[in-house]
Amino acid sequence: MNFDATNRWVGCFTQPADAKQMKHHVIRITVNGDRHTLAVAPHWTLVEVLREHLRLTGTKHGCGTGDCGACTVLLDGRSVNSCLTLAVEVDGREITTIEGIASSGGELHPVQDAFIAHGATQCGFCTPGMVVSSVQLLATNSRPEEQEIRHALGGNLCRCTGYTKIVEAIAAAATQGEEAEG
Amino acid sequence: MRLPRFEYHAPERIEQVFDLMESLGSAAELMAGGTDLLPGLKLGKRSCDHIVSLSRLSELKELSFNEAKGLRIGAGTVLADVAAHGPVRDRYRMLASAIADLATVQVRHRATVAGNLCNASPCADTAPPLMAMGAIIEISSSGGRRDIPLEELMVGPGSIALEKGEIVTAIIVPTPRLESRSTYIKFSPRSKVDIAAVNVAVSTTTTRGRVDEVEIFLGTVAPTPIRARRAEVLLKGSHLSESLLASAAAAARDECLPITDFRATEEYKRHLVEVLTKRALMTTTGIA
Ligand SMILES: Cc1cc2nc3c(=O)[nH]c(=O)nc-3n(C[C@H](O)[C@H](O)[C@H](O)COP(=O)(O)OP(=O)(O)OC[C@H]3O[C@@H](n4cnc5c(N)ncnc54)[C@H](O)[C@@H]3O)c2cc1C
Repeated sequence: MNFDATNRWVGCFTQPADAKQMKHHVIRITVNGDRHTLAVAPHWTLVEVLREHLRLTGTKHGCGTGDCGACTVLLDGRSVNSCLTLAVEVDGREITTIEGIASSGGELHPVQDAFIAHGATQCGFCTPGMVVSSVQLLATNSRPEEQEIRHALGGNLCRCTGYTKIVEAIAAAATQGEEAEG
Repeated sequence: MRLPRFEYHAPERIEQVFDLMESLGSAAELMAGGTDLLPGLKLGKRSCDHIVSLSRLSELKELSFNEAKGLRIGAGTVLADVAAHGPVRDRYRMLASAIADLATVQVRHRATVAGNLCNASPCADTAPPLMAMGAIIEISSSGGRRDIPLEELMVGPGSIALEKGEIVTAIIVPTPRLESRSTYIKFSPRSKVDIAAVNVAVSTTTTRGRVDEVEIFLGTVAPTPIRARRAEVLLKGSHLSESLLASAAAAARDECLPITDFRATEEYKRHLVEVLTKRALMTTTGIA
């Protein structure tokens, strides 16, 4: 069993032996606006802590080597592979996962709406990472060209859709954002 | 895929890094962005008992340019910041374009130039451009600082010319000559998010149709990125013509030492070196 520094139970996915042998580091992180204090072993990755300790299973653990992008989250507003980020390294930082992309009132982000409207999901495994990368793209480039969308999404693999609908959804979300601005 | 266990250290002062690296020796690995190191550990290609992270050393995050000293890229600066830096976009375009096609947005938000070079892959994307621009590597240890040309950093795949307790603290790139023209071409079968099958960086300065200065560096076709010296000798001081560029490209093809791997055969890589070197030279000199 694992307890965080405030003695809150944070999961039992790692074997007890693991918890005993390794020196744990206490980290303080903000995830989707909520603060957490956690004791983590050095070799735990951010995706493991998000999924197994904070139970935020929207973020997917895909290849584990940075190729597929299913584990993409925002770290201080920048997209990163949470499978290649050590949990100890994010002490003091702010993380946004797919669970934090919609507004706190539950209103979907325009990218999420567009993914639904365009049927840009099939099995859904890549979708959280795709959405986070799309949100990142539109934050840095509000009106991307198709080639820019494809380039920016290069780190997110999808084995179902063939990408066409995903690219269309992102382009539509961008246009919508522009219309909303006026 | 899970990581094997290790101890983690994240010193706030650089002296502590030197001490740790000296005392832990080969049991420790330095980590910058971890985008080479962590996959390597997961895949069992590397192992270590300790990771010494550079993440808390604010002094390594420097990124600055001045006309006299050139560009200084601290070892902790991430690729995304280097590529977005105004002076890099204006004056070191070859580097900016190499970074734009290196890995993914997510990786570029974590990975560093120093990590790309110290990982010493023959196909490292920032190596040929930085070599062609005459980059200098600043190496620091408890004993002080020394500078070496980037060309001397990599000694073989995964192997660099650092002594125990030494770390790379910065990459210094001289201010490019105003008249010089540079280009970087990366060729990979998948075209996106793939390491190169062959990569070529070329920089030339010409006056009235004569080649004054030329640097040609080839990646992925030898144990480290290499300089195409024979091609450079042919070009330097000569009058530009398409046939001159063609013979220089052929010389580059003959002097590289590629091996067959799953991306391309030795023969095909040689062919690519010739085609890409000529194409790059045509771009920088304006000879069609
Ligand atoms: C999905 C994916 C795609 C990729 N695509 C590309 C690509 O297209 N082109 C390409 O070139 N690379 C690519 N890479 C490899 C990698 O991202 C780059 O090489 C990156 O620049 C490494 O930087 P880092 O800071 O993450 O290095 P780290 O992994 O932190 O370190 C790499 C090595 O350098 C050493 N090191 C790091 N900093 C220092 C220092 N200051 N002094 C001494 N030693 C040091 C470390 O000990 C380690 O051995 C890719 C990686 C992934 C995961």
